[in-house]
Amino acid sequence: MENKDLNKEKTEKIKEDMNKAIDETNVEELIRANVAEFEHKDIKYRVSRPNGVQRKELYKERGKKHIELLNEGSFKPQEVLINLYLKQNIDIDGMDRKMLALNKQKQDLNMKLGQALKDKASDKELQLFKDEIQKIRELQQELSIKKTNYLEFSLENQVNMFTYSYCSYLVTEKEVKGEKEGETKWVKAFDKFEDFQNGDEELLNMITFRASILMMPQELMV
Amino acid sequence: MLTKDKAFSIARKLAKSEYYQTVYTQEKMRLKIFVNNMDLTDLQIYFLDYLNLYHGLYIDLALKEIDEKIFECEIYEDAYVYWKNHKKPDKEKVNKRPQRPETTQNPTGNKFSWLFKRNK
Repeated sequence: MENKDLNKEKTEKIKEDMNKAIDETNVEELIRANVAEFEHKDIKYRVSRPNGVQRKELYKERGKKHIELLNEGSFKPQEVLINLYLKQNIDIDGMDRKMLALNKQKQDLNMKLGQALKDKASDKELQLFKDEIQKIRELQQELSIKKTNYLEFSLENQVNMFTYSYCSYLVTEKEVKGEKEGETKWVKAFDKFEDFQNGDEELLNMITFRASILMMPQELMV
Repeated sequence: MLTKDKAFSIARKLAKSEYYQTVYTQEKMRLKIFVNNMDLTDLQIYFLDYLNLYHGLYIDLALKEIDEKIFECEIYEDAYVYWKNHKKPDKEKVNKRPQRPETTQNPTGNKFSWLFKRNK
């Protein structure tokens, strides 16, 4: 239990640090190009979108990891996990249904608020709709976090997390001195995936944040 | 809030800014906002969507369809755009649309002439 709390604390701390690292300039840079450069301990790093060869490697490694975890058996596929939860009276499919119902409510309120804005309704009326929509948004966020937490240890989620890390490892380069004086060149930042996994935590946070923005979700999903 | 969400939220704020709205209006056809022309990232695609969203809102503001109040919060902005995209078409406007003629006669009552005439 203590360990679990410590992990949660650590995750929150990482999220907090990463949030601090994200400022408008960083995001603006990421908007302008599909390559991001940054400095860490006087070394220049570059993170880019995976190219065709890297995507093929990622796909292969993702498949390998999936089979490995399936054989190992410590992580259950999502469907199995959902049924296990149901036996404990935790209805994950029910959460999805609730989410859809909330979405419908939000859409109806959006229609009413949109019309009220068009009709230049009173501040009081607008505020009422706004508060109701805000409540629905919070409920949706709560549900979404709950579901993510419940399915954290599903086989699919573990494979996705691995894919994220592996992709970050693949697309990161660092600047080194070239053969001629004053010349520089980009080389892979980590020789092996293990080197990436054992890397400086602060550097890994900087890489994964950029890589997560540059990757398309479909490149990660199983 | 997750870090990726924060990045997207900043992107939305930037898209709303006068600077990017000006760039968007001037460069709309050439898409020079980004260094890369192809292989856009999710963030870039969303950024374009946000630019388009605010461009539409600023036009409606200029046409006095809405007032400044809408820009007070994202809930107002989203609700108005949702309503605009899903509202039933205005009956009066639909009726005002020119009707398709029931015959091949033009409005003057004459039959349409052939575009190509045979040489006599």
